[in-house]
Amino acid sequence: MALQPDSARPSIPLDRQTRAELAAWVAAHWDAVFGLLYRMTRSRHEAEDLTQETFLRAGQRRKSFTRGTNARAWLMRIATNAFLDARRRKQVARIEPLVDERRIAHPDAPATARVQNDELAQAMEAALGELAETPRLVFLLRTREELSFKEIADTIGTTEETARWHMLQARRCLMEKLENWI
Amino acid sequence: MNRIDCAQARELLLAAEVLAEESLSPELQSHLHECQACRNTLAKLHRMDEQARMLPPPEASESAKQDFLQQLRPLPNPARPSSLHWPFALRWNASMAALAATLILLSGLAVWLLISDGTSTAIASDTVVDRLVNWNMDLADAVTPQEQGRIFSQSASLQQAMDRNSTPASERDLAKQLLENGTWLKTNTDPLDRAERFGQLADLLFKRLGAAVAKGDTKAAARLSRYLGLVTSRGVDTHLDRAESSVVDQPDRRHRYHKAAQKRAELREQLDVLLKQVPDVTRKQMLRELGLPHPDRKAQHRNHP
Repeated sequence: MALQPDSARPSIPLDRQTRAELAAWVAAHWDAVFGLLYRMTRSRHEAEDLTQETFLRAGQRRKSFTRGTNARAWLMRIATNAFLDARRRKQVARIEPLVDERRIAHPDAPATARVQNDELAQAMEAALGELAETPRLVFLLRTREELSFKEIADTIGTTEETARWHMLQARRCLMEKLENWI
Repeated sequence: MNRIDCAQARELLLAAEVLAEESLSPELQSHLHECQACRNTLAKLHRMDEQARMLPPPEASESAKQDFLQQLRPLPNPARPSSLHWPFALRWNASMAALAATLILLSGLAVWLLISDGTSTAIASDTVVDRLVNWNMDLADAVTPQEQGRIFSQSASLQQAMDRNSTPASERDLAKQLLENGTWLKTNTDPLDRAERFGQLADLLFKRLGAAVAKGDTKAAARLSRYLGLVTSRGVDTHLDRAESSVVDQPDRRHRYHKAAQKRAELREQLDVLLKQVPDVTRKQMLRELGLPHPDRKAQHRNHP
């Protein structure tokens, strides 16, 4: 028996095939999509909404997905567009910080290797949060999702050269902020 | 080759798509070979990119994920009864199940008597496989253990029918698989196990369908389409629907469920590709047997592959 939705919750009618495919994509890629959107929006609530929006759009456009190609990259492009659309519609408010910056220890303080790794991760998150949106987006799509500059450019609606320039800006800023860590 | 200075090298490194040294331009590689400072910059960029890749994911929004999945619901199908079964499958009571089983046996026997002069072995063997497919479907639909037992009791006569007819080797293979599947269904009632099992049967039928299409055997293609339509809707889809609620809190079962659903989706894609390869007349017949609407016609939504 299929799950019965809460009567107060909106329901999304889809044919059986789409529902099955969507469920499979959610199982495989929800966390990664949410991770990207969380780092972009800096808001859990906003990221959850956009993640749902991403998978809804994927369900509507599933026929445009070519089997055998990278489903994750395709979903990341949809997620990026969902984020950019939301940004165009309204200012995405920063509701909660991604890290508690008070917890970041001074890099020269003695620490165990594990604590240092955690602190480096926190420092990286904080540094990412301080980047401008587009360089941050390009950096994340390149390093974590391994999209090429061409794919990134197609996704955000710019040229490959501009995408490369944003990456340069991102790395330059991060190198400065993380000078004592890397 | 142009020589570059450290400022130029740094800019090129910051903008590099791939930081592996062998992927860099010859000018940059040459500069790095001579400049320790720039090699240090490359090493730092490696560490920074690596750190970004290793960042732990934010705490997963499991509740949002489940919330989303719960919002997905099937399209309403006014033609379907309230049960999730095939449109004309009824919730039989015990006496109706017995009556249906008797009718199936009698019709099979009548056909066998009509053709027992041995001149129509192809038709006889088709009928045996038809009966075996229907028997599997009835076992899948059975509600009570008593009903299941009654339906399963046909297995002996089905085995005899298989043995009596000069079934071609290829059909015998399919018949044997169907008999084994029915025997398995008798003792395995978990919907997820059944969905997976029927999925394997669907894959087998699809392979045969592909072979029939490749040979241009339209009769076999129509027959196999009918079997595939039955197995996917009453075998796979019905049991996936039943299994859905049981997998929410169990990660292993959830993974299996999604894998089975993914396979089901892939089968539909493969079927779409296959249908494009056949002439229009054959395609219409196959769509009819599969229970799929013709793309040119508005159709009532049915549970379909």
